[in-house]
Amino acid sequence: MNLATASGLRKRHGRVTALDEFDLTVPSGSIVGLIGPNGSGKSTALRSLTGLTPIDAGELSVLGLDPYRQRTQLMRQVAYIADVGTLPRWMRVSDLLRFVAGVHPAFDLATAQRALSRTDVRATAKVRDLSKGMTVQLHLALVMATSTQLLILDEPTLGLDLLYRQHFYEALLQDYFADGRSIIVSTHELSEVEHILTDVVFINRGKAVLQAQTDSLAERFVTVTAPESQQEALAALQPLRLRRTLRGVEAIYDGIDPERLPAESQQRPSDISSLFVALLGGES
Amino acid sequence: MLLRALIRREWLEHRFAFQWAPLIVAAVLVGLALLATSLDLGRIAAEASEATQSQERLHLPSALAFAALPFVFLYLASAASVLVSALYTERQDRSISFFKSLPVSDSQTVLAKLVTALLLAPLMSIAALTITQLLLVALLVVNCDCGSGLPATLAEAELLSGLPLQLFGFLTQATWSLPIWSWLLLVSAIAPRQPMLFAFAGPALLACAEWLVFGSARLTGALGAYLEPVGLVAYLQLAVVGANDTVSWQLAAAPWLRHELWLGLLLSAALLTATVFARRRNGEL
Repeated sequence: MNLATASGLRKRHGRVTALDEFDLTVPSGSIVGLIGPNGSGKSTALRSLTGLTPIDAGELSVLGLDPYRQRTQLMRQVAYIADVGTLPRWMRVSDLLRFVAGVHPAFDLATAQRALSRTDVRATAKVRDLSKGMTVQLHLALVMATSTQLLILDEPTLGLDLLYRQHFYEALLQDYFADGRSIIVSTHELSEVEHILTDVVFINRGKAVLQAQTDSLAERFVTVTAPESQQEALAALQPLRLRRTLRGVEAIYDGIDPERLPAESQQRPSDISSLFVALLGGES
Repeated sequence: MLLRALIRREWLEHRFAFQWAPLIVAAVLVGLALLATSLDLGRIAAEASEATQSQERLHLPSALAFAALPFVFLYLASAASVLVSALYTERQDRSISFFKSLPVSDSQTVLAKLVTALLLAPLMSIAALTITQLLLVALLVVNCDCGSGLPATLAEAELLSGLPLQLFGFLTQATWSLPIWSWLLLVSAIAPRQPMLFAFAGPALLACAEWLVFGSARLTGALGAYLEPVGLVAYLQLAVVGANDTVSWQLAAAPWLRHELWLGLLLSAALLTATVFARRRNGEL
């Protein structure tokens, strides 16, 4: 079952094409990484999914709803974090919790209070007085206490140091990702999410360059290393990317028959980071 | 439940303007009255006593009406300032992303902002004003040997009997000026920067254009009518002729019979619809 499907999405901001025939599928119980360089259309895609931005063309359905027309209904079942710096800074933590409890039918105040009691965040503190790390903890407490089916994160750890970034994703896996819930996370920092993803979507210039389950990547994409003398042979097999290394040459292939590779070459499954560079490196 | 939470949020955000500022004004007025009586107690008492004897008594409702002026001006300034920044600040500090991630529609958000500024905030001002007037009357009773006790002086001051007329006056003013408030809210939703400047520049440009093209100021005059303090007429009547006078109520209700009020409501509906539409498309600045 898919929680969200997008097909042929198009969106222009003035002369800039933000989404260009963009496709996306979010299966139930998945963690989908929307990976792309800055300005590739990640935020526009996610804002379309949450109904914050209308699309110009294409078909979009999230939990069976039209996000733009039915945003209020949709947000009862979807949690969205643009980045952790968007909480209203003038509010006290306790007031913020009460406010969310008052407007969100799926929010459990006691759960949020329990989560915060394990942190240094004081209920009487104002959001503007919290450190970045505390703000992350507060935002996480809000998300974890909201019983939604889909969590959409747009560069959620922007500006946070490594420790807080790790804590953020660990908490997500531990407290949110269960019972068929799904997460879509966009980032240009692939390294911080690649170990938690079940699905990956590479986006560049508004197009989905690749969408695949991370488990299937190893079967489909192969990294081949060979002595420099084999460079022409590897190039003839039309790699996604071919580069020189200290020990020879390295090529990445999409679904190549191992029988066609040179005898002196060595193969291994491609990792996501190498694939990202192979697929987007020449274009971005 | 939802609207209550939204209104509470608005109240918290603008608590100083709508709650503390009227209370501070009340404290200042009562403080000044205390200072005045403590500095010149004997003379005031003597004069009041003479006035009592000569039947040229101070008309208490008129005297107390002056205490309302700071509250009225404070409220108008606060409401204008809050509304013109209401949908601008959330874009500026990017909290709009958070608020839009909640299951709250744009129309509910706009409605909550309007209800808070136009209905709840005046109630707070009236409450602070009534407390101030009560304390001033109490001070008068304590410091002057007028022969009448607190209950009699309160009755004479028409504080409680005048409340319905005051509330009706505020409601009338809020309704009459709704196009102004709606315009401020729309500006707060669309201004890229300096919303107060945009709020004034828009009508000013319209006035210039009308004068240049048609050589007239009719449209500007018609729009300017919504700045008239029609609701305050009720309050002034209360001060002059008393709360129980039917003329006061007739004058207070007069604006509701004017076609401008109903045209203004239509104009406000259009402006508020535009505001909801603008917020729907709004992101961060």
